[in-house]
Amino acid sequence: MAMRVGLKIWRYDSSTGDRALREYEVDAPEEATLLDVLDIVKDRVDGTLAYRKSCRMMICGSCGMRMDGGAVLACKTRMLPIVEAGHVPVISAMGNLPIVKDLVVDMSPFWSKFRAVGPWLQPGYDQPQDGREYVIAQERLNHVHKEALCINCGCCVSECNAMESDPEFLGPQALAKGFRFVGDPREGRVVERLEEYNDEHGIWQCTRCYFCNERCPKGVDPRDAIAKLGAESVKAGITRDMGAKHALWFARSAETTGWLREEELIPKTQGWVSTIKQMKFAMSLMSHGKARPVPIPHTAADVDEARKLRSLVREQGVSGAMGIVQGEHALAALGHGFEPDRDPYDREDAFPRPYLPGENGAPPTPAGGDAGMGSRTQADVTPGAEPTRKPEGGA
Amino acid sequence: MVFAGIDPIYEPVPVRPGAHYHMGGVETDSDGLTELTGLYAAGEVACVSVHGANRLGGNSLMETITFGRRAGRAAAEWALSHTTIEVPEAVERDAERELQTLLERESGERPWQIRDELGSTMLENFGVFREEQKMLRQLEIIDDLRERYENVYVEDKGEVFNSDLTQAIELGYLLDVAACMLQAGVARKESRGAHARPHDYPDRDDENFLKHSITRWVDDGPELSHKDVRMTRWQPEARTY
Repeated sequence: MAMRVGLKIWRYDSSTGDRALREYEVDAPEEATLLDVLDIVKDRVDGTLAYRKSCRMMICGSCGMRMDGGAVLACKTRMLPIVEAGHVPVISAMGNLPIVKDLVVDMSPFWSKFRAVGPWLQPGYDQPQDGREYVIAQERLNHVHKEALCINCGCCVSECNAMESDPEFLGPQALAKGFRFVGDPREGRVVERLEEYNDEHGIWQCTRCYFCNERCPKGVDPRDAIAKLGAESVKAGITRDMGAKHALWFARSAETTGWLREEELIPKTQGWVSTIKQMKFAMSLMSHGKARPVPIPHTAADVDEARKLRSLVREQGVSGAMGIVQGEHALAALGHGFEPDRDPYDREDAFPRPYLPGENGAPPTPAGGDAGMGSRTQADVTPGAEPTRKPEGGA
Repeated sequence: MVFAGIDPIYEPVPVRPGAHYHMGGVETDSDGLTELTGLYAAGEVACVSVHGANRLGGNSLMETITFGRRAGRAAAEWALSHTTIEVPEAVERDAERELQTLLERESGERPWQIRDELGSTMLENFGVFREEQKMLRQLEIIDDLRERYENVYVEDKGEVFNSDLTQAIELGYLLDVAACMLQAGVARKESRGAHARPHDYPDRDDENFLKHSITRWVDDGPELSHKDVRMTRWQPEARTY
């Protein structure tokens, strides 16, 4: 089955500076992605169209671009629903990076920031000294699972608001990668890393617009990684930045009176000198009814609940990034509609339930079968142990 | 669960064959060095010959983690001690002329037609199960496609990120590699790993074919030779699953 797909593509040539919005219309199979359609355009309509691609399966991160103003991976974007809606999307190059040609951006600022966060494990002194592999339990790596999913496509950087105002900002991708190592139990330079990520173009530059979370095609949630770095920084006592002070004051305010004492926020975050300088602005806010002239001190009726929550967090020792990870796991369960008693295949629009290996009624698994993946024996996971052989031979 | 815009719980997944891994490649030693001094290869383009005739899932990580690292280190060491390399002027001119010819051609066949035909015929005649007759027929098809390639037309004449040009050049290499694969495939009269000939040679023949196929491009075509297999601990065994 074929469909007729329309695209408007912003063409650009950095050697001439020519820029134009061109419209294309091609036939494509119904299962076509945006990347498939671009391939058809390039092959059959206009060979001068430039875009990056490689794996076509959301692993290489080459085909980041904008569709209707927001970053997408072309290979992940299916065209059928867009065509059915009668929409002709505008395709353009990613933002925050210089355009080389058409949909191709210069990734060098991206890579230099990636490099700046030290994207490799820098082991600590508690490593096995006899040359053995440092094996850790999967559970200890689970809390950096999301950050490890990053494929360096640049979709988050494209949409980053903070980078628009501070091009030096390390940015969502590099910082998410930073947390992938800060959260790794084998990492030896955690505090040094946190110090580096707290510099003037570091974590506190983030405006928390959450566009990176929204646009990441792999579910990395870079903003959450930045929050985790913030929490770890505070936990490590790195609180010199206004951002850290701001966050600390929120917590303190909630714990003591159960409500946010905004009037004290500026002096606590920025200091008294800055506060006095901003008095004129404060007066203007008051005259427009945006701030109260005299704060009335009071304590919220249910402040005990806030305090109990806070002490529960302390008791459970889930301060720092772990607190956020725990919250994420709970939210993920809600977000996926996880209800222990409800089966996703019970939904009316669900595809027929598949057989799972070993289930009643499932076709028998072939003897010694490993679905062609090569078997994992104990020797594969236990360093130093002799590899075991399958009884029937084979690999 | 969404992949390529489809949630497999609610919708069937479109299935198509894909290139899972490229077995074989530029022959290198365990430091990534090729036959040409100073030229190193790593990753899926390289062949360190550790996988045998079929690479198992997960084992390609060795290409990056082990041999990528070794090749990178060796190449860097070589580059640090050899700052320049003399390229004969004639070689440079030949390369420039080839590019020029491609770019100056004002009409001809677009690369995608040749590429799509190459792909579909290779899948048909040199896919999972191979037969002598089909392979020989495919060799003829390749000859025909190579002839058509002589007239391939590049639409993009620009100097910035000209992927139309690079894809056309790449197509020429695809045709070369296809010819090499076919020649080695026809000569290997056995079934081993991913080279399966269930109709004419269903069994493995260690006596005649326990060896690497090495192809060099000589003059205008592939020239096949063989190299002994270095085996240490693991001996080949029958695949019984």
